[in-house]
Amino acid sequence: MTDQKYAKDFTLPELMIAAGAREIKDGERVLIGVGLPLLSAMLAKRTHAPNSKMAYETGSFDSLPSRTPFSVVDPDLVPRAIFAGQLTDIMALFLQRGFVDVGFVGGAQVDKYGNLNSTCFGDYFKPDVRFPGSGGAHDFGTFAKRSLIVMVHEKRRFVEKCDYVTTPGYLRGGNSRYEEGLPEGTGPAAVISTRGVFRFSPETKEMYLETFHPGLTVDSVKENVNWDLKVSPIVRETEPPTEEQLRITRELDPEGFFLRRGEYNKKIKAQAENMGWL
Amino acid sequence: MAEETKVMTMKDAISKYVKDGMTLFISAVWANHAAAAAHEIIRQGKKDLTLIESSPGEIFDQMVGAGCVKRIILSWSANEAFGPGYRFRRAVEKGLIEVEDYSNFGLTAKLMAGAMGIPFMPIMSQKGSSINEIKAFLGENKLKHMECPFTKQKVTLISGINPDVSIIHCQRADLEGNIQTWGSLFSAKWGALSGKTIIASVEEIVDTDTIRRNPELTLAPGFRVAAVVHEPWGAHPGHLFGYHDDDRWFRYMYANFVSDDDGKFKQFLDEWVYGVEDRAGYIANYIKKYGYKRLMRLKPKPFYSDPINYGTYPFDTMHMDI
Repeated sequence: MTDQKYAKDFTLPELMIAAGAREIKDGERVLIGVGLPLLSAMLAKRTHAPNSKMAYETGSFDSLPSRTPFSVVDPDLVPRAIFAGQLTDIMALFLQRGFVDVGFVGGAQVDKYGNLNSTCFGDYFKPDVRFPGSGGAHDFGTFAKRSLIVMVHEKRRFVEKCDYVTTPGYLRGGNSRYEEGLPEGTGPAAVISTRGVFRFSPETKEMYLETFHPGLTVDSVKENVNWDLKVSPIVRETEPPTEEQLRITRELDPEGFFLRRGEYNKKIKAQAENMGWL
Repeated sequence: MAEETKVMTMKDAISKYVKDGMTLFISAVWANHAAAAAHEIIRQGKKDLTLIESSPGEIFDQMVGAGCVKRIILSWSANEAFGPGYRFRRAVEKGLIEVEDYSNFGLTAKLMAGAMGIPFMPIMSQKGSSINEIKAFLGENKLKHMECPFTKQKVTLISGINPDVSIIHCQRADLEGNIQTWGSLFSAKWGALSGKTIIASVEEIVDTDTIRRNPELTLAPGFRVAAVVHEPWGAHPGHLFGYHDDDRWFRYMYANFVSDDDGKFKQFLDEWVYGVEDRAGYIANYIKKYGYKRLMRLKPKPFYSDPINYGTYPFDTMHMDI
């Protein structure tokens, strides 16, 4: 990719999609959920990782979708797939057996050891905000060799301790994840947020800043984290998407459902009003 | 041809088998999406239901909003990439419904245990999480931890469940209630088979020979199935493999412009649920409002798999004539 030109004009979601794609190596099996990670995986497959294979908890493996799926239950993930089964096939026969390399997970809150909350803000029984819940995230984060966390970065979301641990990261740091009985050789590899890319210390398992997104600084990222964030000695700006990555990303989402949600929403709303939708 | 038929209307199936206070599995993950049944449950004003499903979408949101639901056992609830399920979200935040959370694997293992008639399913997942630590209305019956008696590994034991009624939407069935489905099933197989009683709505009623030519597609033989409802477009706005696509547009509208608005939500139920007699009425309303062309766009072009050879086998197996 080094011989390729970097794009100059790109949006934050496009930057994050490229960052996610770079985490996938050729030939890897990747479990993905809804949204941006789907585009990262599709982008990787069309660029540096043509032999990567995607699995969906719905039951499909190595699909050849003719459109970008909006959801992991898109019916287009079945025709021409290598395998179409059910959730327990993917979760038990693929994931629990250790055959999945990369799992993408999202969350509403993350702590310094990469534990993730996608269930609620506040008390579980009287939540300030109720989020959808685990879905497959917990299972991906448990068994995938490398889990990748993709999330919106606000100060209240990067906390010392999560209100609820939906998906275990490195628990209390050090070896605590494996002492709890989670499989050796698994755990979060990176957090790709709207402000930067973070990794975890091999010994302490504490999160540190590896790169900050263009236009930001180390300090501006640190200000939006609720603990004293450690910073890589070679901290730098996040690598922008190449022109090729950007072109393919945009081809994957021509309507802007993922990439230009605000604009998309306005367009659909106008059409809905025209058609008397309620 | 069977003398008895299991085929009945959705109205009859729901009023005969679904009672207030029951525990129901309803396939609500858009794969085998039992939307027509959910709307009939709302129309009949069923109350105090406990629902179970791994990752339900808008039909659970609508049942919560319509006041049918007391408790939900789930892993995830939203309108997938389209947006949060606000009826569900607000009801939990206001304490109007109780929830019990599992992971998708844990939840489906719970249904699988019930379907297989064993009291629990051991899984290696859900460790190190609040999912295992925080127990709501199931209390100590939610799950247990144990050390494997053979390997000494830590194992999570997920208690099994047998819902009073399981409801699923499938491609086809015959009059005897042999139901067939194909595609990616998500949690639908274990959800359906865990039920004490199974209700299946189907796109097509076929003869038993058609079932027998593809026995691997049979999800449940007729002896497990109490009622079959002939319900074309029964999954809308979800999809059913080979029959209709997701109606992304309709689902986007619901998630973004209806789910979080009390007035619009009431209007939605009045128009699409209370205002129609049944699924045929719902589809008639769709055609009237948006046109036949928009509906027909949801029909996928055919893509057939190749026939496979099962073989036929002779009665005389000793080949004495050679």
